[in-house]
Amino acid sequence: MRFRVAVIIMLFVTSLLITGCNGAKELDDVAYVLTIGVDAAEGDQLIFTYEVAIPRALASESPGKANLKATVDFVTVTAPTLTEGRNLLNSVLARAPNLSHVTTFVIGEDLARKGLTGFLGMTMRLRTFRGATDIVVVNGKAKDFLMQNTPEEVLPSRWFQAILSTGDDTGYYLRTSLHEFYVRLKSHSGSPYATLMGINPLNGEGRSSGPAASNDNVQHDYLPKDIPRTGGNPATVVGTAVFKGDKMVGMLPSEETRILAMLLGNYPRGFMTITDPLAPQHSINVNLRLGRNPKIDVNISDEHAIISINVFLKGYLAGIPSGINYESAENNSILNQQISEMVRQKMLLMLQQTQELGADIVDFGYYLRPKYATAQEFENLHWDTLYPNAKFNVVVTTHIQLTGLMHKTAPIPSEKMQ
Amino acid sequence: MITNNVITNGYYFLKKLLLYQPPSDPPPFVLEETPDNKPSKSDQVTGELENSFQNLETFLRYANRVIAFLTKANMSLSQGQYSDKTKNLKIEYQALEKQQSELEPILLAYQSGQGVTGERSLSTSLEENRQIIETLYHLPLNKDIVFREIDIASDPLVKTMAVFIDGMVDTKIQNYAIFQPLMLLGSDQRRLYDGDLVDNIIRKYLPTNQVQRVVNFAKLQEGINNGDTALIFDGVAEAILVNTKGWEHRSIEKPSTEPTVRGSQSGFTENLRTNTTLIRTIMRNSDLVTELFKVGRRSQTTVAMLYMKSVANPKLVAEIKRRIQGVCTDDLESSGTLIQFIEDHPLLPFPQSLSTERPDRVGPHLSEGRVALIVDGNPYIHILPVSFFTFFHASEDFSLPLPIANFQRILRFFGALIATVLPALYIAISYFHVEALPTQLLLTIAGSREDIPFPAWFEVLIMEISFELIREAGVRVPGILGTTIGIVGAIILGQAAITAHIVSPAVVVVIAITGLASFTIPEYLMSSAIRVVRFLLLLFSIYMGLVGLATILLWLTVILCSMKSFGMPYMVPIAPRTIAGFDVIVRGPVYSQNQRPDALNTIDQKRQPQISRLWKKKQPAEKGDEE
Amino acid sequence: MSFKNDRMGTAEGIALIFTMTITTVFVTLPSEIVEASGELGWLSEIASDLSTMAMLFLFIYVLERFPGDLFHVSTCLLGRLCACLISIYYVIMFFSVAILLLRDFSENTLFAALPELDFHSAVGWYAVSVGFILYFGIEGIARAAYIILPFSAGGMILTFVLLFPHYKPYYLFPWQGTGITNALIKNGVLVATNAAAPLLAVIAKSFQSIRVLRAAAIFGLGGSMLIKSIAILILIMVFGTSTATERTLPFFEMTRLISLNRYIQRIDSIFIMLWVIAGILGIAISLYMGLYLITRLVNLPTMKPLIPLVTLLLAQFSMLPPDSASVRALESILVKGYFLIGIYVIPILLFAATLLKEKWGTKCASE
Repeated sequence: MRFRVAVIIMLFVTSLLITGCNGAKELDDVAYVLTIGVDAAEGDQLIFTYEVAIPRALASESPGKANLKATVDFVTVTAPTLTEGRNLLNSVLARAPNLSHVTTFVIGEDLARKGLTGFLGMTMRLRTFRGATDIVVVNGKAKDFLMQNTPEEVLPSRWFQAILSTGDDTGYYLRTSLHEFYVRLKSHSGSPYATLMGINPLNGEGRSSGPAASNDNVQHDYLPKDIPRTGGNPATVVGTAVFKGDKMVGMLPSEETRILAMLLGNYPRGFMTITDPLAPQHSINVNLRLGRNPKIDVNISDEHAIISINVFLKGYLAGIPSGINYESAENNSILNQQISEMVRQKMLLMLQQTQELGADIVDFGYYLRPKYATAQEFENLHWDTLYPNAKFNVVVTTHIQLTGLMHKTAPIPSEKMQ
Repeated sequence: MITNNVITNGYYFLKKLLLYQPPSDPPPFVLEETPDNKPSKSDQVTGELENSFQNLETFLRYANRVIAFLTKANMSLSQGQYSDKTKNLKIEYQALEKQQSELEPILLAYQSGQGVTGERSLSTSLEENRQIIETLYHLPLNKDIVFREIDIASDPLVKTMAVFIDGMVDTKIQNYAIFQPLMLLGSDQRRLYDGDLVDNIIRKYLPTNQVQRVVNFAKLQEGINNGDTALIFDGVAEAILVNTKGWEHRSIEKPSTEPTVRGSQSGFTENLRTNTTLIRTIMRNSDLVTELFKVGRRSQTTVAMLYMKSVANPKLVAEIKRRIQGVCTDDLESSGTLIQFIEDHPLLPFPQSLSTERPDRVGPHLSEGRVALIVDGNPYIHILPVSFFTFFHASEDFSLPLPIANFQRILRFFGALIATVLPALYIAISYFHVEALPTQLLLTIAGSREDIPFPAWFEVLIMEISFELIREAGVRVPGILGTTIGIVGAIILGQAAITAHIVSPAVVVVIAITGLASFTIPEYLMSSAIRVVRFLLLLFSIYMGLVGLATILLWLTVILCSMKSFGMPYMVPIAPRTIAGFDVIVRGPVYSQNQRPDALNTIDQKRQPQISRLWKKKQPAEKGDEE
Repeated sequence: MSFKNDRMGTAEGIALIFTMTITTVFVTLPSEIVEASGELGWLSEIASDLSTMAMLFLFIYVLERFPGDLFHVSTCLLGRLCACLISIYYVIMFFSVAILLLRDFSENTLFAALPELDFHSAVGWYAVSVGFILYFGIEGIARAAYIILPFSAGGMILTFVLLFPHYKPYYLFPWQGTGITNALIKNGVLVATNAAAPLLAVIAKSFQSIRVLRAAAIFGLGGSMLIKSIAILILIMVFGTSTATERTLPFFEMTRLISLNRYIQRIDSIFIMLWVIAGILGIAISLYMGLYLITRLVNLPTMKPLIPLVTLLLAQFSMLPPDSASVRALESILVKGYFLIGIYVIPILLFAATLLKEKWGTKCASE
């Protein structure tokens, strides 16, 4: 018995020893890639920009010093695939590159317009990447964006995570994960979209893009490069990249992204500027949020889709530059109507734009699913071909519940105004 | 010959080596899990039979006594001496008459219907009284009870019996204040039987501070259990309890390895008798049986086995007795050695009995139906059988308020978990699954590791081993210096190791937390076992990461689940699932602990009634209730 | 002869059945079910489990009237020859379950936990672990499974809850998926996802009473049914049918998606421990059943010497298929064909024999 036990233990130990350590790596033998930027190059080649962390900079004795040193290093390689790019990276770095801490994929516009299928196929099969990784499209080159991004955070990956998670403060951009993008891409309705980022020239110029509603004279619909600003980090996050299939077909500026957020039921709060209905030269600030998820109903009749949308917004007053007493009941209803009408018009304009692009980024087809019995029937519908000709029926209701810290606005005596 | 050459020999050797031989051991002892608690009908029948058998025996003894008296009377009458002897005969005759009145069938039937309980009153027959006391204290199993028969000098001699518990009485008081005056200082001329014998003795011949007259066994038992000496006289249905209380106090010290915040502060000593006495002072019950064995052919060490006769499972008691008696060795070093001789799995690191030096810890376990083993010369008393979870219960758990006790218990289990897996988890994650760490933490650890010339597993090992060294040194270095070395050593060594770039700060933190957590486990043996297991886990997580860790954890769980502690499954009451008192990981309120542990399969499963706070159901005290 | 005096209660029974039937959630099967039944995949799972449960109750009906284990009962109901055939059938069935699990979990380990591990090492590791714990007998394994059960069930439920932000309920529509009958019969009842469930009958003698068997069938299989169908439901809700069918390890993918904030994300490696333990237990239990039947069949006094041999053999077998695709193909042949006999034909046969015996009033000698 003792002999047998000894033999078994020896065999076991030997087999453990001869197989080695199964790929164990010391923490400091690994180079951690935090962000990957991807751009299109000639032919099928891709340009990968790897942002590699320098751990030593973070482990310095005094935390204050850490900020002074560079915490990341950039390596740019041109390779046909992601894995080949990793191989080349391995030749550049002394340590083994590890991609499991990549939190964001930054896609250059040119590649996005060329199509992402090849790139996505690589990311979904590998164990190192996961669905929760964020995907953003850069209005320009990903490489330039990563190089010029000088975040206030210690780590750029931290900057990406922080700024993307604060998107719901304004609704000007929506966080998109690889998982959502991919599921949209593969499902039988809906088009993918991605967060839009870009480098702002910081010259203080820039103008609103995108169509304006008829009753809206406040022009503030921006793409990243258009925001009139100076100073700070040139990297700017605003707007949405619209895809049709795996190809990027257009961009939605800030306000339209906000409308998209409302339709997706993903608009927690945000300040909105609207034209003062009684004094059109002024504008009014309100803080709005969705009172409930939007009610969306899709009907198909004679090969035509009719989409009814019912959005309910509620919020509070944030500023009345005109000094008109909108707190009073009758003025309040005027204001409510004004907001509803403006949001409705903007919504229609935004939807019209997506119809022109042929990309159902709200995924109205999703709401059609319960009306079919089997998967086959639904697939035979070919929703994406129906969408560009769909009719919209939008109802927006607004309810300004609270007046903020002022419950009424006393007029400025008229003699003082002269 | 063909059958005896190198080849055949080799063949037979290999055959012997490789061929499976089924083990010849008898099946292991398993404590049955589904008891049949209710006494069956046949039991009742035998009970009745036994009662009548005892009655008949009583009659027989009485008859013998009468015969003896008659022969005596016959002798003395035929010799024709009248004066003194006749008087004595008269006294004896009166005693017989009294006993006969006791033996009246109606009375007897009534008494035997009660069984041998303390409610019975004393008999005039000394022999009868002795019989009853022996039944009450489960003699001859119980070795704590001492009967000392004396004759008080008088005319006629007063046959007397002193009954007391060894160890609970002060022998000096006993010798000088009871036996000396009664036996030596008397004279044959005294006539004690004249008048009230008991009163005579109390008033004239017992120079002790407190005496008490008792007429029934309940009071008698109570006195004996409290350390009094009972004096029972022939021919009188009364006894005297003499205050001889005096167990050892001074030599008892605080338990050194099991400190407690709220528990009692007395610990066991090396003296077996002192230890049994300490237990008896907590469980003052005549049901508590002390059985003595001699183990060790040359050392002849005394081993005491204590259990509650009316609670403990007789099968368990028999099995433990069998095992102790089956130990054949030269000498017995300590109780730990004895346990290794008799436990089920001596090769596994997990303790299968609870060792303690606190009497207040033994008491509750005994009343739950467990057995305590004391080895003479060793202050550690082992309680068995125990389950895995017992080792995480501290002695003061039931003295603290419920939420506090439970918080501490959860903390302890959490500490045990950390002490087991934390270094292994650190290694597994940093070697194989770096993605699980938050990026910033990962980079900080990786950065701090850059100056370290060793692999991470070596760092962990260095720190683990130096921590073990500090611990071991702290135990060996005498006195206050030991604890100082422990604390100072840990702090200085950790700091120095970091500044010397031998280990990274993260590893120091990991090992420090692990070490701290391992001290939250109240039982020393269990925390040692966990320490051993920790190294095993560390080894396999270096090799296979979380897969290795998970596998070894599963192995350990299976091993623990198939273990038995003296026939009781080790992981009871979780696996196998038994009806548990609400006292496994967290405990319920004291008034809900109504059942004894199911797995022990005790004779009496009930610890307290469903409503143990009787006052809850009664009217609160009102005006007029005060005395 | 340790296996002859096991006495297991309800808890152990539930744990055995639960552990044996839950393992399929960690492999590719949920994806395959979604592929076959579309949006109605969860119903397929329920149909398959409920029909298995019904068959278990047939077994229990038989065992109630003729106490003993499967071998004994089939001997006295159908004769020695049939009993041998049935036992051989089940031996092959349990061993193939073990082989498939061994193969699947070794591959899982390579994919998900240790990509640089040698494949043979992975198989070897599982084989050694299984062999080791088998030495402690089914009682120890079942009790360990019972201790681990709340952790594995809790871990899965936690995963489902943490995925809440990703739920898209309308992905469960069109509600008929690829068709109701398709989901209920072809991909539900006629797919033996719980091939190992008859283990209750195989080692019936090791359980305390028929009541235990009944509780194990209801709560063990019912519990795993609940979790498995919820897993498929959530898989569809999170991934949508088309993406869900692509996944090799659906449950692992689900844990990979969890990302609450900067601190709680990428926690899938913690769940590795969960499915490694579930896998080893599953392999060990199915292996034990096969070994038990062999010892009963050829009347061996003990099974311990068989453990290393059989474990080694099965490990070799599991390395035979050249690639994952052939494993999938083999699996589908077994699950849709061979295993169905053990799940449906044999219990019905025994049930019919019991009814006839009862009618004729013949008794069966107890062991």
